[in-house]
Amino acid sequence: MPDVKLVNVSKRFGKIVAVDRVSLSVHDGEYLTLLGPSGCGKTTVLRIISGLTNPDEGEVYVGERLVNDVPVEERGIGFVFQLFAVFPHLTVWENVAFGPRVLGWSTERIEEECLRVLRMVRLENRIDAYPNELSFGELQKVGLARAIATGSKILLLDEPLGALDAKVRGELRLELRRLVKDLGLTAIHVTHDQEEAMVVSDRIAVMRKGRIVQVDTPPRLYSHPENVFLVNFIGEASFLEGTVKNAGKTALVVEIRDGSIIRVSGKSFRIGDRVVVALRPEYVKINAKGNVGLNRLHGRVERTKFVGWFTRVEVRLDNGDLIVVEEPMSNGHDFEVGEDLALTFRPRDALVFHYPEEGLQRALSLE
Amino acid sequence: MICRVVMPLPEVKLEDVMKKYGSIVALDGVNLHVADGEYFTIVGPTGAGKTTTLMVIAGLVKPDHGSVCIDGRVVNDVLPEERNVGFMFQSFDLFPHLSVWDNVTYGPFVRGWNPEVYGKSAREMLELVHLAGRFDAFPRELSGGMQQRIALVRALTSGARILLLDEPLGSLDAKIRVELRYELRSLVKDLRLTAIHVTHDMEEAMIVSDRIAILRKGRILQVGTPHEVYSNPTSLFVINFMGETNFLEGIVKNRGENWANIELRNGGNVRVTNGMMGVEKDVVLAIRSEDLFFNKRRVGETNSLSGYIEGSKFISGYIRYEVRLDNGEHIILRRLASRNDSFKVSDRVTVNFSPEKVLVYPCPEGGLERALSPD
Amino acid sequence: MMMSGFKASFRRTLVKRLKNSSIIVLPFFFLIALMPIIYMFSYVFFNFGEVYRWVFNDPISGDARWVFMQKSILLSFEVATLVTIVDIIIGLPMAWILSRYDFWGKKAVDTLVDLPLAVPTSALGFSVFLFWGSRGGLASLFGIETGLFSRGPMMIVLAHIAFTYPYVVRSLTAIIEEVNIGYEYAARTLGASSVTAVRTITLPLIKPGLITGAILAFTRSLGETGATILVCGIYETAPLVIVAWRQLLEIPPAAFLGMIVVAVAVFLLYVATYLAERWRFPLRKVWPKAERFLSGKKPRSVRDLLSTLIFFLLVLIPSAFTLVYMGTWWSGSPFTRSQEAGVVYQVFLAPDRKWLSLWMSILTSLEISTVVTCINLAFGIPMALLVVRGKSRRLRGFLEALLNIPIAIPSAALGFSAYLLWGAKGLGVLSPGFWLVVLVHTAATYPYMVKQVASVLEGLPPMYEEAARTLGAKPFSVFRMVTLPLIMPGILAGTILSFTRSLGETGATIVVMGTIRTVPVIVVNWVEAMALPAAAFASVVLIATSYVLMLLFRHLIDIVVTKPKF
Repeated sequence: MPDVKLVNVSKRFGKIVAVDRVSLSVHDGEYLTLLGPSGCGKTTVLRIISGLTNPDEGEVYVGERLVNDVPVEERGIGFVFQLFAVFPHLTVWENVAFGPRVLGWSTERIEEECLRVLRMVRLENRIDAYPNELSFGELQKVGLARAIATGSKILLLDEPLGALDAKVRGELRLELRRLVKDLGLTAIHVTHDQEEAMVVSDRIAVMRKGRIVQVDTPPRLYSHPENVFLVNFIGEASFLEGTVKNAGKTALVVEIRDGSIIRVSGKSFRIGDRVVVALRPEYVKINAKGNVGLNRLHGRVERTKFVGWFTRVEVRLDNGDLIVVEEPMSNGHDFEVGEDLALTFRPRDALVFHYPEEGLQRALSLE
Repeated sequence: MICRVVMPLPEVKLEDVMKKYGSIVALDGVNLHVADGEYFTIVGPTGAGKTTTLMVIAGLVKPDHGSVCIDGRVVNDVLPEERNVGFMFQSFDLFPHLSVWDNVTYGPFVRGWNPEVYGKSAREMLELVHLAGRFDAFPRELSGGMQQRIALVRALTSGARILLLDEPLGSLDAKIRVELRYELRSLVKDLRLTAIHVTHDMEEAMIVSDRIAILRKGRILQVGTPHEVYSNPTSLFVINFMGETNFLEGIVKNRGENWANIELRNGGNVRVTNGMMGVEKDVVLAIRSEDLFFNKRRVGETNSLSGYIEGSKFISGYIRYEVRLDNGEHIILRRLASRNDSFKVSDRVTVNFSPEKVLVYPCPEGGLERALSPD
Repeated sequence: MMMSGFKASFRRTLVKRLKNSSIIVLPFFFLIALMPIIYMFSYVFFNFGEVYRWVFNDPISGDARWVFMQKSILLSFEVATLVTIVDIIIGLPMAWILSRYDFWGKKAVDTLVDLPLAVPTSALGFSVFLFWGSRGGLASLFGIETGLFSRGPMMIVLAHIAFTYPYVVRSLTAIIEEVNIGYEYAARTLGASSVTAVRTITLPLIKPGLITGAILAFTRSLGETGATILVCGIYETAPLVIVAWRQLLEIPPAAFLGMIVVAVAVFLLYVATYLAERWRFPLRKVWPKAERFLSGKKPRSVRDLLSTLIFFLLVLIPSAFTLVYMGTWWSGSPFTRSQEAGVVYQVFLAPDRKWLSLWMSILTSLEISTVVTCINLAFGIPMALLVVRGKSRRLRGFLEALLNIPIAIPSAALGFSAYLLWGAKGLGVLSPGFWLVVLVHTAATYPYMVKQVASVLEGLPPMYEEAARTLGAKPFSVFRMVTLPLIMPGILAGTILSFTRSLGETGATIVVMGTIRTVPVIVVNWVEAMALPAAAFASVVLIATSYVLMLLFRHLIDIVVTKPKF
């Protein structure tokens, strides 16, 4: 039984279609992320679930209950805002106790529950502070504690980490997932940051221009993206355009620019199809000793950059295409600009897609 | 091509700069030397004083103490409009009532230059960032990424050779941010500018910079190339700021000339070859999560900690493991994902690491948490 | 206190009907502010024969009244135009100083700029007259026997400058502070001197504020009565003529003039706003050398010094001069030493017991202003919610436009139209007296309350109220526990404005007061009776009351204001 279900939900703002026939099921206790570039409609979907925005079409179910006509305050769904929305005129304690107070809980119960929740986010020593005395990270924790204090089983988070420093973001997202899992909540999280999505989620629903493009677990989304946009949006990839020269059951022979031939795996392609081959940086190896069956391309180092535990090497192939490779530091080699080298990758490590109708640039665009 | 007059590339130097706002110390004796043509980044948490530093260089803020030198001369008393330093603001601050063209040509216009001369170079710069077709649009009609590029062009059309960037990518989506980092560096290098870039994102700093300075509470903790800062972080705060690091507290048991044995507080022995400390000294060991590796069998007694996998998460090409050691401590380990990964949650494993990869620091006075906190 | 309890329960009952507030609030606004005006127009149309005779074809004076009307309207216009131009020229530098500079004593200067606001206009007019036009004023410094200026257009201009100055400076300060200073920084790093940066970047961006400030100054000057009565001499501005004809019970011509004046003011309001928005700042040329020079330290200090000096000379000292006068004339005339000319005698010892009239009028004024403010709170807060959060954008725009009318038209016209509608010539339900005054004061001050609350409400991000709703609070609880505390600064500001404006209202009050007297009216009466020292005393009492109240509320605002972190 899904905890939250959307069936064919649409929403327009004037002429702009913000949400376009979106259907989604979020299971009980699941952490699902709505991921997509700015303007894709993810926040609107979240607000529709909470009731802050009303859909033009479609049904929203919470539990088994149709909630389209249920006002926000009766849905019992916790909401965490991007800019915290912590009441500036109330202390940390009063903020967290707001929900329970409104629900008319007894003083003892309020004290017990609020203290428990504040301990979970480690703010039990700051209960008398006012919001203008707290750091952004602390403010977000208050927002979080406040949203769960009433015992809601469903938590909605609208870009909760967007306003935070990179370091704080990295730490808080782990805490977030831990908290949600410890409490057994169902969480729907909205973000444009794919790394964040990968860390917190059980499943990710990628949205683009108002539609859901793919829903999958993070590893599967990474290894089996359904189109070029996804392969570029989740993680990184270099692209080679080509034509299918020969097609077996799962093996393809593709001719790329300048006539070079590579072998890749792919199903349901025919000879003559225009394709795009995507290579992830970690699957391309430099100067690996030859193994039969590996693809081999020659090129020259155009740029290299030390990034910590690997070096990012941009290689300009002889045929003009650019490939990005990530070389782990443990290999020890330092690459020089202009150095000649050979790149290899396994056929099954490449992802193949039909060449997009609107052209590669437009298909990849984030705007 | 863009007009280029051959002249010596400028350098920027800050000496002992201090700035206070009431009782709040924004800059506490900052010393910086940015060389000609260098891409220099200042990294630090919010409130560390990064923006103030840039404002001091630009002349928008007067320091209470210390000197600012640009191109060899002291500019403390030189007005901002005369320093000819390009500034890219965090929210771009494109003039909302002017078109892209008027924005981009504002600098030369306001200095009274010949419109024919600067018109040509402005057009060339717009083409460089692929926005020549939008010159009559207004800022509010453009996306974040486009606005950023316009702001960049605007900062450079008066021929500034020094570019100051205040969190230039902060307001952009994560993916666009990642893509534009490389473009930014390419552009700066192609135009042979000196850039001083400020950010709270260490990953960004590593990618764009020639050298990095880490700023905390108005003080510079360390300056070096990304490689230097990565391999030899001089303080706990610096190493904590980069990626995920494991901290283990312990005490020096015995030592030789170039080695030492540390006994961990909760049990276990570690051999190190860096950062020599005296015997019986309390130390904090730092090991980066990417410097740890797994083995299913026990390999040796030192630098080998056993435990079980508590959690694992796939993250874009690598896997992050949480390991609960037998001695109760919690370790994070990262490794590149490969198709034959056979490590699962609740597997028993041995975590190993080489002595050279362990960094040793004296135990900080206020405690570990204080030493790592941004304020 | 009984008053606060009354206020609280009143508010509670009305707030309960928040959902259906438009049913109450809209008719209320229509009734008190718009209906009288519409009635005045219809009165003229339906009685046009009579009006025509009075104005154009009077058996005795022919079309003298029409000629007179034209002259008065022209005078009002000329004065208002001059005042507005001067205000902008001298107000902009001061607004700049207040928003951009930080110096020791800034808070003091800030409060001083507001001083004329606390001085009710008749007291202010009187003070201006004393300073520029009486023997004991500025003239005494130069040894001149009579005042520097005599009553007339020049003094009207000086009086109007004094009381419109704070409005202009305040609107300009608000908008300068709102503009992102980053734009100026960007301009400077691009090579623009501060003068160039302000001229090409900041000024175009604060244009809306400049327009608002200018229109505010213009309409206030156009409609002002209290001060004008005291300094006009033989000249008469349009509002004054309305008051005069009303007192002579020459109703038809008064109605006609009222109609013209309202039509002109409304026309100006909309047309001027429209045109001003179309106008663009000239940005085609730069003068780098000249502007760089003007940005230098010396020219800037000169400019700042000049602004401050002008402020003191044209605004501050004239406004507060009554105090000096009262001090000098306290026990008797400084010239003849006659005791009967002194404040103490005239107010306390003279047989006509002025102190009693003054005391009664103080009570009356306070009563009226309190009731008016309570009504404004009860009906103003829901209206503000409607204007900012209302569902229909058309309705919101429409309401906003309508709300400007009562403050754009001269209060004398407002008062007169109410007199027409509710009095014997119209419905006949209310004769001049306490309640009619309350009604008219409410109509004149209601928009101020609404605008103050609305502006704070507009700046409140919806996320706080949304958060409260997601936590289970019903709309009324959301309003009570979240919205209300966060808009409190606006409510307090509206209260101050409403109270002090009502306290100082003169023009409309004279039209509808019947037998009661408020303090501003007492001041006017005593000046006309040439009892200047007594009038000075009454003015000072009035000023002191307003100022104390203002300080009290300002203090309250400081306590209550909670600024969010970002």
